This record gives sequence, structure tokens and C-alpha cells, in this order.
Amino acid sequence: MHEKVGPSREQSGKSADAPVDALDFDQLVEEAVNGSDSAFTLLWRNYQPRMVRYLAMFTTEPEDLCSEVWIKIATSIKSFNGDSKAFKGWIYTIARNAATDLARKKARGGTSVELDDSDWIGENSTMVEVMDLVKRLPQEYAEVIMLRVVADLDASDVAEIVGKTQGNVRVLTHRGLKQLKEMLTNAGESR
Amino acid sequence: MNNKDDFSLEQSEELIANLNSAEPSEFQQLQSVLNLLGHVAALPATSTPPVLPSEIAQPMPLLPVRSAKSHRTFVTSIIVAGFLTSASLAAAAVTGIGPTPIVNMGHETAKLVRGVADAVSHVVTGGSVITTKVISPHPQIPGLTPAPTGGDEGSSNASAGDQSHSSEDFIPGLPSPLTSEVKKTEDGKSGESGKSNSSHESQTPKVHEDGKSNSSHESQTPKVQENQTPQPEEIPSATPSAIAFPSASPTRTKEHIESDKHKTPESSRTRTLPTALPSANSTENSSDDD
Repeated sequence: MHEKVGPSREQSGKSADAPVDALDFDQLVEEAVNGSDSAFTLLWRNYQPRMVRYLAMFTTEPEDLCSEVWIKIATSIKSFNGDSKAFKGWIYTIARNAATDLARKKARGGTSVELDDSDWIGENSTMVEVMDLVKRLPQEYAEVIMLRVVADLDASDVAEIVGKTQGNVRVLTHRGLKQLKEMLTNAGESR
Repeated sequence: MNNKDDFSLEQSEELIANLNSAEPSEFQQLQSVLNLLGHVAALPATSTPPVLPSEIAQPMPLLPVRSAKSHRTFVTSIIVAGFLTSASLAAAAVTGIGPTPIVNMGHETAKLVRGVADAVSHVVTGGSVITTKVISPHPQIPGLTPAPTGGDEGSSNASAGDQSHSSEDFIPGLPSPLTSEVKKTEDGKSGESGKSNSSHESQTPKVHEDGKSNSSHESQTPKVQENQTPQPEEIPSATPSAIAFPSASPTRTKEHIESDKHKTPESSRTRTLPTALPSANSTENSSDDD
């Protein structure tokens, strides 16, 4: 399920039509930083779906917010300095900041950011139920679970994004999974 | 409910690490939910990002916001300062009120502007008509200007000799329509003598001096109306000095104008303003005596 993006993948591909799995992400990031549109397109194609899924935790229109995030990424990608692993943490930091800003704006306007089932048109009902369960978790639990499961980040990257220690992230992940497991058990018993 | 107690931190980490593995764990329900949560559909190969770096990187150097702001502020302040300076100088030149250096500077600036306007008009009109003249450094209010009453022969002689200077001594704002009007009249009366012209123009100050000249003035009016020519008698509302200028140069040529430019405005000013009237007055008096 999870793509191990990073230096472990040594295959190289420069075309924008090349399969994402066959790409050297370190090289892609370097080329994108140097202004390559095709490399940027491949990175976007690889990270966009997971980012949309992650942002769905914050807003009912994750695609729009994700587009704004990628515009910010494209604007400031030349200032990025690092490998593919750092790049992934960097773009999710931008996404998290954008989601926080959006939530703050909507909080001022009094608009609710609760997820509605109708927002998942095209998805199966199981995904709706799963997202509903995750959103019922406390915010810090749900966030670290989404970053570790959906964004495929390890504990150190998540700790850097959310501004906590690595051990704290592990504990939060454990508590979130434990609560999620209880919710699943209670849901099964109620049926 | 015993599962709650069995789920440890190490187990949760192991569950996260083995999400993509096919090995079933003892927490199968939770594992399936996490697998479902982490599974995303790949985008089609033809999809493109909302924006590319090349589309953003190009306009960035074209928007030096800070420099544009400072440049705009600088230009605006320069324009405002220019307006304020010109307004204060113009006010000082017109009213004559204010510190002496500023008033003098205003007069000098007015002279410079009028000189430029003269040069431009001279170039545009080919030097045939010169209408703008050097401004008087002292503002003159028509009602307050003392009318020359003396019949000083010396001054009248001097004025007769310096009549060619009169065209440079126009008071700003008054002369040009009057000059053209009087010139028309003089053209229409080209057959008449210069004496009659001078007596004609001298009627205006005499109107305020005695009634006799008024009667002679009125006796001449129907004659002019019969000819249907523009009446110099319409001028009296203007100052005497303004009226006297046209008679001073009825037949001015370009050479006269050029020669006048070499003379200082001071000398022409002191002589011409009072002179035309006394000479005309003397003529008027002689004609009245007749």
C-alpha cells in the first residue's frame, strides 16, 4: 500500500509520463528545485492524492485547498534545500499550515468544517465510515494517525511537522489507534 | 474488552510499519481500516498540477514591489512640491504679499515664463505678432494707478520720442484685446490725421476732468457710429495707461519691436505709462480750444 519514496528507489525517469514508482525521487526533487516542470509534475502526481486525503480531515473541499498548497509549493520550491524525504515533510508542513489558516478563517466566519457524508461523492461508504471514525478522534490523535498512515511519514518527520517530540508522536499514535480500535469494537457490538 | 489492555505501544508501531504487508495481525479489523485509510487511487498520467514553477518564477522579477512603491512615493512628492512651489510663487507675484525674496523670485519666474512664451509665440507666429510683454514688477490696480495730469512738455516730448516702447509695457491681463480693438479702429481711420487720433484717445481722461471735453466727446460719437466702426470710446472703462498704449505705436513695424527689446523695461516703464496721456491731453486741449 505505501510507497517507499526516497533514495531507496534508484530507478531514474525524466519523462512526465513515466510511472511514479519507477522514479528516483531525490533526483526528481533536485530537478524540480532547479526549475524542471516535468519533475514537478511527477512529484505532484505522486503526492497529490495522499495530500487530498490528509486535507480531508480539515475541510470539506480538500481539492481546492490542495491546489492552493501546490501553488505555494511551486512558488517557493526554489528555496527548498534537501532530499526527497525532507521534501515530503516540507510539503505536508505547508499543507498543515494552509489547513490551519483555513480553519482559522472559517472559525472567524462561523462556518463549520465538519465532514459531511455528501462530500465523498464517488467514494464508497466504507471510506466515509472510516473518515468519520478518524474525525471523531481527538484532533492531535487524528492528525498523527493521518500523517503516519496516509502521508506515510515516520515518527521523526511527523514530530517535526506537528512540533512535538518523536516519543510524543509515538504515544499519540498509540493512543489514537487504541481509541480507534475501541470505536470499531463498539460499532461491531452495536450491530 | 480484554483487547484494550493487550494493545501496547510496540504493537501499534508494528501495526503502522506493517500496514502494506499482507500478513494478518491480531488486530485485523483495525488493520483493515488503516489499509483502507491509506489507500489512494493514482492520478491519471495526463493530469497536470494547478501551476508549474516556470509559470510563477517568471513574473517574480517583474514585480519589484518595494522599489515601485518608493519610486511612486518619490515622484508623487516631487509633483506635490512642484505644485506648492509654483502656487506660492504665483501668489507672491500676483499679490506682492510675502517675503521680499519670494516676491522677487515670483516676479523673476513670471518674467522667465513670459519670455519663454514670447519666444514660443514668436516662433509659432513667425514673429509677426508679439502680444505678451514683460510683467511689471509692481502689481498695478487700475483704479489706484495715478492718472498723469501734468502737462509737462519735457515728459510729453520724451514720451513722443519713446512711443515705440509702449508695446512692451502692457499690464498683464489688460492690453491684448484693447490693443487689437484700437488697432482696428486706427486702421479704419487710416485716412485721418494723427492729431485726430490722439485727440480721440485723449477724450477718456478728459471726461473725468471737465464737462467741456465731454461735450466735444459726445459730439464726436454720432460721427463714428455712422461709419459703423468699432468705437475707441468703449475703452474708457480701462485704465488710462492701457488706453494710451495703442496710440503710441499705430504703425509699429517688426524693426521697431526688435529695437525695443534692447531697451530696459525700467526706462520704458517710467516714461511710457504717463506719457501718452499728457501728449494726448495737450492735443485735446488744443482741439478744445479750437
